[in-house]
Amino acid sequence: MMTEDKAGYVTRGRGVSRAICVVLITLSIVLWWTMPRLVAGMDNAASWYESPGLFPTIALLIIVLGGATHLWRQRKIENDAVGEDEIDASASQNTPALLSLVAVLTYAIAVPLIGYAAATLLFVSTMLLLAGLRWGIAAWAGLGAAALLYIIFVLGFHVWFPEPSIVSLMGKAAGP
Amino acid sequence: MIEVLQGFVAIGNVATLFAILCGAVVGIVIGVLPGIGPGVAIAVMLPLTYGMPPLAGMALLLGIYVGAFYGGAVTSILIRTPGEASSIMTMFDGYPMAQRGEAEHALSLAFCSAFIGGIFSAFMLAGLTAPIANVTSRFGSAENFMAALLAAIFVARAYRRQFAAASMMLGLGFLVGSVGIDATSSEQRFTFGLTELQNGLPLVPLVIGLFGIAQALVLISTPRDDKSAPVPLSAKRSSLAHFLEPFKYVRTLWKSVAIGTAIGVLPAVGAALSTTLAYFEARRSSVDPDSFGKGNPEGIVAAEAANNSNSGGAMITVLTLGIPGDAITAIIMGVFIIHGIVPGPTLMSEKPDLVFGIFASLIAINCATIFLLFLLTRRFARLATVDSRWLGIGILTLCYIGAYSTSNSSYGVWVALGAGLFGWWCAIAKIPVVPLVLGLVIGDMLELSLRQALSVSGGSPMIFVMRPISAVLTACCVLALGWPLISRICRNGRRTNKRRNSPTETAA
Repeated sequence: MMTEDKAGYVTRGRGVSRAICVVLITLSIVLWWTMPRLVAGMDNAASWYESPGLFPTIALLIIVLGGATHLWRQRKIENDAVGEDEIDASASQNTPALLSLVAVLTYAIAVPLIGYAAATLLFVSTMLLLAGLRWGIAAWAGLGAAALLYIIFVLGFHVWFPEPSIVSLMGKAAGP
Repeated sequence: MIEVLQGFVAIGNVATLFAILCGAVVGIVIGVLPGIGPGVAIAVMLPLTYGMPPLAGMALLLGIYVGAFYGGAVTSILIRTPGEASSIMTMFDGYPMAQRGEAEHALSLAFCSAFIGGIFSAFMLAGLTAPIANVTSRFGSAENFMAALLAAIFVARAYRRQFAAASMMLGLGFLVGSVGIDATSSEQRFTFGLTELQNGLPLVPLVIGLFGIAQALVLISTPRDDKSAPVPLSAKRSSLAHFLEPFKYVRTLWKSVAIGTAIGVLPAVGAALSTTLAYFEARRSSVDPDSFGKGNPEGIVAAEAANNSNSGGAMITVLTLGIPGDAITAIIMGVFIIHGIVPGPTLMSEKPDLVFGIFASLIAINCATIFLLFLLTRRFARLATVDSRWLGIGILTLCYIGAYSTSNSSYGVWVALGAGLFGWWCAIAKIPVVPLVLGLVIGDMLELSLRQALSVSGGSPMIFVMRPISAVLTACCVLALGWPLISRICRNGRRTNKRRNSPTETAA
């Protein structure tokens, strides 16, 4: 007998699956309808097989047929087990995942403001703290991660970051 | 012979050797960590290969791919938790051996069998690539289209009851791949007037998002289960006799490497199937089949030999046809794409040093991996108990810098984040994303060959059945699509016959 948790995950999974199919089917129909405006040169093509819209049309058709069939089959059967290379998220909880996504968004916004190293230090330390590590260990881990990644990517692989906004703000505040 | 030696010369530089070593270490770590596949690591490491020579980049990613096969056996044997799906069969006999106090014995068997499988499949790669490339170089656009279509159908079929969802995602991959400037007509498609979209949606951030960020979100948000303590390893190292023991089961060994290499060549048929087939074949032909599953060393030999012999086979399809067989080889193909190299029939004639360099890399990777495991098994085994949330945080951090570095701007990061959210939703919904990546990678080739074939035939689809090789491939496509229906009809026919011939009816 299915436990409450598992039943909840199955229901959530089915709901999300249906939502994805409906969104993709709707998007495909809209794109197909507006394709003459979104794909340049469709009217100029000498023949149908030379049209730049041919392959996207086939792709949209596959999406609609596949999505509709999957929606119809879901009425009868539960989704199959994940494939070998797929991620198993059957026990993944929404709140920690969405909060993590927000944290990464904040990290991405912070990098141009305070610089890559500082933003990485804050991101890693905060996340480890929220994951249950003591603040001292989290801080040292954040410092270590920031230093290592800075050395490898910025100095080693020459990944370029613009000057942090805070530096120019401080320069302006200091005056001429 | 000369080309083989040229391959070893090609890897004889600091960059490539260092890449091999790093790849092997990362691969073993990924293999040991349950819940993370090599796809995540390869996706995150892909941007690092931008600044590397193509062969060094390939060696790094192949090192991760191969190392993960070895590493998966460690947790299968010590804590009864397969590090990779392909290590499940190893667990059946490895864990009982560990419980009997023979953990080192089991690990030595696993590593040596995997080593033999890896070396064998590397030699198969070296020996078969040229003859197969000779055949595929005669492929015209019709044959290329049908071969790519057949691979796409295999990929979708691999998901059995999820065929419709897999097809939908394949179509989505084709659609996403068509964004940007059309290579044939130079017209803009789905760019919405945005300059960033004129080059299309970038592959690397998409892959980082779909695999890396999605996996990290799952690791962070999944409640921890109490991991069982690993079976302790004794202080003494494994003996040489244990490493040579797989040769006691010569027939099983060679059957398993043959199964693994052959399955590796087929698109969409993963290593898990090859280990399952090899294991059950070994059991079937064993003099003592009942001992399988209770600590029979032959079970480990069969599973691990088949497991690691996938790697060479999978690269044959990539190098000769330019068609990836799974998500990992699709991402590895990204190295070729990044460096402007076109994998396929002409690669052998244009860049034989690269092909044989890959062969030499596989040999070196297998040697490096087994050497590292011989020295450091205990240390690697401890990684199996690391908190998955810390791993998730580490992966998110790497994903950020990996996605950013693709264009030295935040554009890659936004693409990766969007793909990560979509990948996480798909993982919850159990909708496969591997077909999306495959559609993205082979979509260009499919479209180009389709349009070329139809241009040659003046728009007539008969070109796909008039040319002999293309006709065979078309028949295979029809068979692959229609097989469930055909087998259902045959099954119903057999059931009807059985009912007609049943004793009760006969008596009546």
